[in-house]
Amino acid sequence: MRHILHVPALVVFTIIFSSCSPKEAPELTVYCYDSFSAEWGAGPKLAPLFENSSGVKVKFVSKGDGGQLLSALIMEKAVPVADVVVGLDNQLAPKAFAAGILEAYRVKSLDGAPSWLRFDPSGRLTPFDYGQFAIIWDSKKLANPPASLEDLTKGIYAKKLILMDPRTSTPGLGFLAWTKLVYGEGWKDYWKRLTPSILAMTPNWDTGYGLFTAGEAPLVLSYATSPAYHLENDKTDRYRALGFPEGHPVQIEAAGIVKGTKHRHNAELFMDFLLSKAAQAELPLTQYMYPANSAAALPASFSLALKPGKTLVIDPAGLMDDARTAAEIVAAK
Amino acid sequence: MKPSPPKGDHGARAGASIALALVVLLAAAPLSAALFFVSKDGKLGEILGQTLVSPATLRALGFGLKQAGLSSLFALALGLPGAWFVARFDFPGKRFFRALAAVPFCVPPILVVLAFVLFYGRGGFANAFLMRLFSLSNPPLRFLYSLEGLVLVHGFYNFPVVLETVGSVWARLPRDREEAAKTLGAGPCRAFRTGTLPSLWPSIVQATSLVFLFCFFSFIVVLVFGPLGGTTLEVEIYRAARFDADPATASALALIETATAIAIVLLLQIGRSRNNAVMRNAGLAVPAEKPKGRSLFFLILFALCILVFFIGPLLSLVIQAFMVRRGMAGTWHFGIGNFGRLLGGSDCLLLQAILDSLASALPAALISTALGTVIALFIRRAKAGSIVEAALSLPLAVSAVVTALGWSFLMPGGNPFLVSLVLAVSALPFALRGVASSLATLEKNPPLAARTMGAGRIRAAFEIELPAIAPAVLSSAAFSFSIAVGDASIPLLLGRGDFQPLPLLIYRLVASYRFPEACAAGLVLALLGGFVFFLKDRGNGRP
Repeated sequence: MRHILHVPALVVFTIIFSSCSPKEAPELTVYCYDSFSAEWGAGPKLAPLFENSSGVKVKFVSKGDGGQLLSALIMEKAVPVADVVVGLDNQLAPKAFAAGILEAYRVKSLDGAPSWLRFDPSGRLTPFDYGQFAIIWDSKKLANPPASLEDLTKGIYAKKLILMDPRTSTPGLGFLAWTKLVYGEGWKDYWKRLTPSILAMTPNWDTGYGLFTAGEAPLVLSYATSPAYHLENDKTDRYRALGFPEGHPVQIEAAGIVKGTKHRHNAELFMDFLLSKAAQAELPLTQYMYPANSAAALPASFSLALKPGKTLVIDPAGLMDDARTAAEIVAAK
Repeated sequence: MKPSPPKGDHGARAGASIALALVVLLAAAPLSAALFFVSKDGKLGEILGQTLVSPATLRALGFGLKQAGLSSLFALALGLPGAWFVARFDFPGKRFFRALAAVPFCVPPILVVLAFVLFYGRGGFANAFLMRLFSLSNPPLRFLYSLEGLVLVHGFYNFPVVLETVGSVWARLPRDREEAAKTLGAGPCRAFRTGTLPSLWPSIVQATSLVFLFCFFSFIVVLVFGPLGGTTLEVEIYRAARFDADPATASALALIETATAIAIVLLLQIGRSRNNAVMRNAGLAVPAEKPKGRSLFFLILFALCILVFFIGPLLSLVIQAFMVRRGMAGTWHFGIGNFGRLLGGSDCLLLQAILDSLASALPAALISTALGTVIALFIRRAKAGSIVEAALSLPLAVSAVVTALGWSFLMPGGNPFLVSLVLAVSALPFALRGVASSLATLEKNPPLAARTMGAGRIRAAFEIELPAIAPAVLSSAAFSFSIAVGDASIPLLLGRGDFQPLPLLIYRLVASYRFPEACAAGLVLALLGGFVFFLKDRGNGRP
């Protein structure tokens, strides 16, 4: 048995020694969420581009998801580690502003953007991409897709819809906001009517979309740009985003300079770079969102993404309490 | 000359205190952060009271206890027969059965959800098969999204813990007591109850408490399969911390959840130590026999049940790992494309993730096993053992969300040097209990006898106790490794930005539409955890 124990010991030492090579200190630290810094994400594509154009070395550090990103920044407020944050959004914005963790900066290339996109005119958060929430339809599993939010409540869609829990996920909260924007005070009645159609309410987008691609239900809440991913990577057009005449709420992802940064100049360079045509052109196929800078070229697969039509602006006030009410309505069925 | 009684052993006290300090420091750290946030404004009692009496908290607590209770009962019902089979019989695939114990630790919950959906789901293999067989137009199996479905998934997900924990002790129980009871005219049931059950009790209690806590802390599985809009304390903590940005309420909930979990651990600990006294009668491992007649029939029945209901879903996951979706119709094809995509490129994602996993989990497993073994030996000699042991169960009572919450409060910038140590502490209760259960089946007298003959305490431990408990030590190492290698939150919170062990890679893949690749990485992670159990069983098989 002794020789078995030698193997792990050897492996440990090899790893410890091989990981000791000195690393260069970055000149700019950017906090982001997981899928942004992943090898296939936008981070690794942007880093060399930025280094070439500005000569500044940038390091992307993932802090988990958007919510964890914000809480990390709040925790580190006294001694900030990051210079720039990438990946907060319009739903998290009020909390970020209240915490006072950002420094304002105006990125000029965004001056011509529509006002709904530049949701913070003072420039503490600068939008870099956006996507609308939409119901995605598996055209191989269901013949007649719904054409509106109201259609979703019809008996033929019983147990055919996968939603995300508004208490624990951003898209779930987005869907709740959507029903509030469309139905006003009547949103609670809508949720009562909708309940029979819901197969599962998953804690996060990942699980819900995983269930959907496993063929569990033909309708799922996701982004209007989701079909572009499948066309680009799986070469399939079976998944379609359903455009509803009521309009679609928009999630705007934003970046900002962290208050107290010691690299303010480099941070400004990065913000300008992030909104430049070159950087923005990398976003569609890594983020699967629309670039904020409309001058950036879109890949062919985005022909399958729902064209941004009527855009609904989410009002985050009271949304958290309503999330609990919505869950209770669904549970009371 | 008689050796001094173990009661006054100073070494034992010192060893236990050091271990206790380490555990309290690292496991209770997240709780201290929680306490800090609740008591920051000097309103500790008020916030705790308000949170405790809120209907949402009570509902979450009630549902959490109910589903965890039912799930552990189901896991016991599956695991105990399994433990009997692996303990008493030799059959092909036995090592595979035992290696399944890695599954609850090494298959991330999201992949478990996918596995069960791919198999039992409306479009899953089981329904497709039944619909074709009986030419039905609607899927006949529709229990998945209900309390029954939740209990089923939890039960199958966790029963290998019971099988392995109880089975490894059962294998070492001599049959003379049971035989004696039978000779005295007891039926097989009575013989089991009086001859075997008392010795098995500690391991059953241990396994049950583990499974109960796993299910109590379960998050993704409960929300996906449980009743719509259902809630548990874990969900409430997550919601309060991340969506309400309300650290005080989140912390209060975390304290309530942890207190409940500690109460459960203690209750079971009391039940356990009462029975400790009964069983000091065991010897060398009993050779297993070939199943015959009735036992063969039941074994086949059991194996079939596990194959269909548990291996089926896992196999669906394996198949998914080898499926590549191509063509405009979006149909699936077999291929190794998912692995190819993970292995390709200059940075070799998958290999780097395996190395990162080994770099954090191997030291963690070594530390926790070494600590666990030393503490178990000390506790055996010190009389205050069960109190220390209960205190060392603390890491069990701190859930993943609470751990994450606490460490993000305490160490916002992370600390790579802590990764293995924190992982080791979270695995320590498993290592300790595994070794302690095995030690409890040893006669106290042999070491005492050896010491009477002049052997020192340390020599007695090395020459008599350690060889006897070697299988349990290896089993504990395997458990610790599986726990450490399957954890995603500690490496994320404390690791460097570029440190990406397999569970983190999997979470990043599923967050980017890449489910088949996530299944491929999940398969590698499960194999890594299961492989350790195979290694351990090789050590076990030696005389």
